[in-house]
Amino acid sequence: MAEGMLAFAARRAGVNVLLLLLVSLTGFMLLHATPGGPLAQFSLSPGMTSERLNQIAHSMGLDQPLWLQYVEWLGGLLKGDWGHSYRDHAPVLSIIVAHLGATVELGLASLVISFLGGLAMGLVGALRAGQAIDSLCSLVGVILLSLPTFWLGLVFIYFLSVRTGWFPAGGLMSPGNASPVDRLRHLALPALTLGLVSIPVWGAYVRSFAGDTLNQDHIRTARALGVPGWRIVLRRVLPASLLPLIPIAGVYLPTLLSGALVTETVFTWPGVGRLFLDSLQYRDYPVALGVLMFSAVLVLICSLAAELLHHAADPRLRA
Amino acid sequence: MSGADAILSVRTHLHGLRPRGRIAAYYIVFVVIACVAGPWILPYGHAHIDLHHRFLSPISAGHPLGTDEIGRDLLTRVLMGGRVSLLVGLASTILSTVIGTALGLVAGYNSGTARFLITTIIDATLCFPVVFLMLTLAAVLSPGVGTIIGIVTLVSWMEAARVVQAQTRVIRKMDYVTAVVAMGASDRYVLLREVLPNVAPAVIVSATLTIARAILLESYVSYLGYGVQPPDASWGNLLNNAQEYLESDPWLAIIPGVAIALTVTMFNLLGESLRDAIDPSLRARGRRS
Repeated sequence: MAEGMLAFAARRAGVNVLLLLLVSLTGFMLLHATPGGPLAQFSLSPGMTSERLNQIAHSMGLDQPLWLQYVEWLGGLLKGDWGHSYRDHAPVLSIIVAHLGATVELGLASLVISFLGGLAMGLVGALRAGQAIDSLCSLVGVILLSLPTFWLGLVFIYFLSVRTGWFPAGGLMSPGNASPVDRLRHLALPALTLGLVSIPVWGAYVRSFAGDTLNQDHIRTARALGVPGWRIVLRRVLPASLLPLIPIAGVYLPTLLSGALVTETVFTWPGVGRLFLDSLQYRDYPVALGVLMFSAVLVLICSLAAELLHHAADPRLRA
Repeated sequence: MSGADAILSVRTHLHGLRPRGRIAAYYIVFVVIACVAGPWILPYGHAHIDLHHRFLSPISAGHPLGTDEIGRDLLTRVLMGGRVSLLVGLASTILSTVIGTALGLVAGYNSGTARFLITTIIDATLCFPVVFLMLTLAAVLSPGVGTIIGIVTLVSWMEAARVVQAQTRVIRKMDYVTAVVAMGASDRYVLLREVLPNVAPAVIVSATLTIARAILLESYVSYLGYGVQPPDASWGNLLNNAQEYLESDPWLAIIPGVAIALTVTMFNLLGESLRDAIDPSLRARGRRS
């Protein structure tokens, strides 16, 4: 049985390595083969001559053939040398790691909000299937799914920050204030924004999985035996509906990262998403490429981990 | 079932829509007419600058939604922006539906290399944070409506492809398809005359949901400054500057956002109602309870 899982993991890992190569090649070619290329940033500075530009190109290895540049960059990537930022020459990997904490904090907080919200919405919908409250839940779900994240953020900023002053309008913390309460107040609005728009993602799956479970014989038997409804939900429906959610968590990560980028921009939250946007704006290609690769690796590792966890947790899959 | 039959059956289903689906359909027709005809009727050009009437609040004389930071009429701007947003949504949906359906048919009908290749590409595209990919593309291409349509298409075709592939696989194994193949029908005939009409309803549902997502994606990219460029308006780029004036003039941010949220909601509602109306299994479940 363990072998089956190992073989499965190995096959998936193989496909993932292929995907990563594809991603790296696409990203690299996109940013290097376009007009201007990585040098565009330098050619904009005042007093730049073409000799000086050639010098820079030579010192950065940009005058070499493109495929050679790619191979060297990829080799560096594997060795942990992700290049240096054009802006401040700091190593790309350490810049990304420095911005990672804020994104993880925002991601986890919004995950808790969206997961609990989705669980509640999905369970209510499944238990009252076909009734008015099920219909209402699905309507609310559609509306939440249709809200532009940045606009929801602006609405929160206006009503909960500008008008009432309850929460700060952006940033990670107040300068010179390291109290946990201050951090939580800064986290509240971005996490709520990102969490709310993700509720229907979980809600739809929970609704569907819980609905399937409720239709099964063992539930009907438990009902016939007079087991109280809440006990059936807690002991039977919930565990059975949570299991298939594990692989969804892996699929959900790309959505979360995209949402984080937009949310971080609205709330000036110093995370990886904003780092990516900033580096695109300044044509800081090593950092932009680095974030792109980093997020791809993260997504693939998480989806693989989620599937393995699902395999380990669900005995039916091991047969 | 021929193509005409398929369209007819969709029309019959439209009459059987849930009330929220019908409301959504009426709203969409209304918005399209308003965005197309509105700017002609309104007295201001969308680029008409009037520095004497900056930051008028909504319900001002002559400006029902007020004016922006350089005195342009906001209603005109929202309607003009709607043209672009709806165009991007529609064009990229048509493109991605055609591409996705074609790839889905091929992947669902073949079982060899073609399926492996296409499903791998679908998986690869799906595991990407969409906004990162779109921004990278938008940053290196020259911005404009055509570019943004292409970019949205590139990240939207997978939905149709997955739906069509799954359905094609099921239909392919059905007895009547086996019979037609046994009678010597070519692959082309089977795909176009037997499979395609039967996946058409599912494709229409996925296209409706794709429009909703495409409008939303356009608004993200334009809001972040990489999509439709000023002075052209789109629902996303109207919010681009609005954050600066949030404190004093919140309606500049709130109104275009309402337009996006409402329209996307309505397309999603229409899509879901169409799915309920078309999918007999879901209908049966609804009737039982």
